Amino acid sequence: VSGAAHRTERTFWPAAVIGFAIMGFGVRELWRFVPDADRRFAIITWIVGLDLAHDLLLAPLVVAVGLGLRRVVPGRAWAPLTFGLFATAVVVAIAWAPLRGYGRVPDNPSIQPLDYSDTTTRALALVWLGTAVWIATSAARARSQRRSEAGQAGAQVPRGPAGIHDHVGARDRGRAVAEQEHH
Amino acid sequence: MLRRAATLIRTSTHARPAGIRRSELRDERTAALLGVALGLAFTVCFLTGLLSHLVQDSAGWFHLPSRPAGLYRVTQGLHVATGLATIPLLLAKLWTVFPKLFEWPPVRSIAHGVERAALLPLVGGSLFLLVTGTNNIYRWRPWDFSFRAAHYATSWITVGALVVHIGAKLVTTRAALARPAAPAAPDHVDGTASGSLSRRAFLGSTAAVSGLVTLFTVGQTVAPLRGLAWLAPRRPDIGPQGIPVNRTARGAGTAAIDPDAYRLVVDGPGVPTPRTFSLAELQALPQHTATLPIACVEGWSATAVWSGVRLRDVLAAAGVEASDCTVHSLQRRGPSRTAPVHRGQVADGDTLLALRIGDEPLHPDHGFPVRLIGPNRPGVHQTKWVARIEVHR
Repeated sequence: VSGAAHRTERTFWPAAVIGFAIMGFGVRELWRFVPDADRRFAIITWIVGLDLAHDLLLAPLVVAVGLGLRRVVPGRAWAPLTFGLFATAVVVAIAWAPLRGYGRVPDNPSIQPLDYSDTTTRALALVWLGTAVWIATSAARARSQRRSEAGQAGAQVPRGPAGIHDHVGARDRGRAVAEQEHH
Repeated sequence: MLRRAATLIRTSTHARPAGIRRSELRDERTAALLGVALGLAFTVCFLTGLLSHLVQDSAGWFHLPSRPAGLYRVTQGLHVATGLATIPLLLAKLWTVFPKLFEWPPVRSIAHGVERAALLPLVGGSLFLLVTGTNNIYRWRPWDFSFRAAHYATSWITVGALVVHIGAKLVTTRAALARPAAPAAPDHVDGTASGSLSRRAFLGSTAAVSGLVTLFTVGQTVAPLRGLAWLAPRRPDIGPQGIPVNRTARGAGTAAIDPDAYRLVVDGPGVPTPRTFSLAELQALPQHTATLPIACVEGWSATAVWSGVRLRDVLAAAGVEASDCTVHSLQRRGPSRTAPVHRGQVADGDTLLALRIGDEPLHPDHGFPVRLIGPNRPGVHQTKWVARIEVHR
C-alpha cells in the first residue's frame, strides 16, 4: 500500500471529465430539489459522516474482530465463522429499525407487519445452521484428507506427475508469485 | 504523527503469522470481481431509480406507457431488491480495499489526487444511498430532509464518482480478471488459503449473504416467497382487504366521508361544462373489473381485483375524449394528494375509478368511496379518496 509509483491509466482523464460533469449535475440537482441551505448541509453531513463512521469505526472494528478470530479459532473454522458473523451483522443491520420499532405507524399495521424479533431469530438460526454445516463438512473433509495422506505415506507411493506433492509445489510457486506482486 | 498512525494501521491490517503470505482477499483480482458486481448493481439501481423519478417528476415530460401493466412493479421491486443485495457487496469491497486508505504518500500525482478526491463522494454517497434507502423502506426517517430529493441528487453524484473510479481502474481491473487465478491449494477445502481466508470462500460468503438478504426480503413483491420475507417491511397479503397501504384514511383525514354527500367533480379547461357525479351515479355507469398490481416505489407490491368505472367512460359522460388529466384527492397534504394521468393511461380500458376490491366496497384505507387504479403506475399516483378530475386541453 505504499512506495509504488502511481500509474495513471489511459482511461482516467476522459472518465474524470465525464464523471465530474455528472457529479456537477448531481450537485445542481441537489440545489434545485433542496433549496433550503440547512437541509443541504444536513445531507452533506450525512454523506461525510457515514464515510467517516465506516473508515474510523466500522472497518477498524471488523479488522480487530478478524484478528481476534484468528487467535482463538482453528484455521478450518475461519471461513464458516466469517460467513456467520458477516451474515449476522448484515441481517441485524437491515432489521435494526423494525427490531427497535422505529418507523412503525400505530394505525397502519401493514407497515412492519411481523414480529421481527421472531423472524430475525429465524433468519439468524438459518444462517448459523448453515455455518455449523460448513464447519462440520470442513472438519470431515480435513479428516478424510489426513487419512488419505497417511495412507499414501504408509504405502510409500512414489512421487508422480499428478501427486499431491506436485500440487503443493504449484501452490508454493503461486505463493512466490503473489509475494513478488505484493512486495 | 499522521504518518506513524498510518503505518500502525497498515501493519495491523496485514498482521499475520510469520511465513504466511498476504491474504489474497486484498489483491486486485478480489477487488476487481467485487467492483464489477458492484458496478452492475449500481447501474441497475440507478436506472430503475431514475425511471421512477422521471415518472413522478412534476415537470411531467416523461410518461410511462400503460402496458405492460406490471413494468413499474418489476423495476421498483428490482430497485429495492438490488439495493439491499448490494449492502454485503459494498461492505466486502470496502473491507478489501481498506488498507489503500492509508497509502503513503497520500497523493503522488495530480491524477492520483483527483482519483482519491472522487472516493469521498463515491464511498460516502454509496453508504448514504444504502443506509437511508434501507431505513426509508421501513419508514424510519431520522433526518430532516426530503428522502426522495436527497436520494435522487446523491445518486447522480455517486454515479459520477463511480465513472471517475472506473476510469482510474479499468485497465487494472481488466488485467486482474484476464490473469488466470492462482491454482487452488489443497487447504482450500476448508475455505482457507495459507493462513488466511481463501478468495473463493470470501466471495462465496459475500454472494451467500447477498442471496440471503434477497431471500428474506424479496417476498414483499414476489408473492410466492412472502412466507420467507422475514426481514421485509411489508407483506403483500397483510393489510386491509389483504392489501398493504402506505397512508391510512385516519392519517389522511378522510376517515369520515359520507357516501351520500360524496360528489366527484369533472372540470378543468378541457371540459366545456363541468359535471358532478354522486356515488350512486358512478355505480350506475357500466362497471369494469381489472386485475392489477399496486406497486410502491419502496419495493413492495400486491395484486388485487378492482371493479369500478372506466376513467374514459366518466370523461365521456362529461362530454370529453380521453385527455391529459390531474386527479385530486380529498386528502389535504402529502405527495399523493394529486396525480397526473396521461391521455394514454386514460384511454386504457383498465384505468378505473375503482369502487370495489373483490366483492367488497373499498376499505376507507384503500380510498373509499372512489380511488384511481391503473396499469403500470407508481403507487403514489394511484390516488385515493378521489374528489376531482381536472381535464387539461
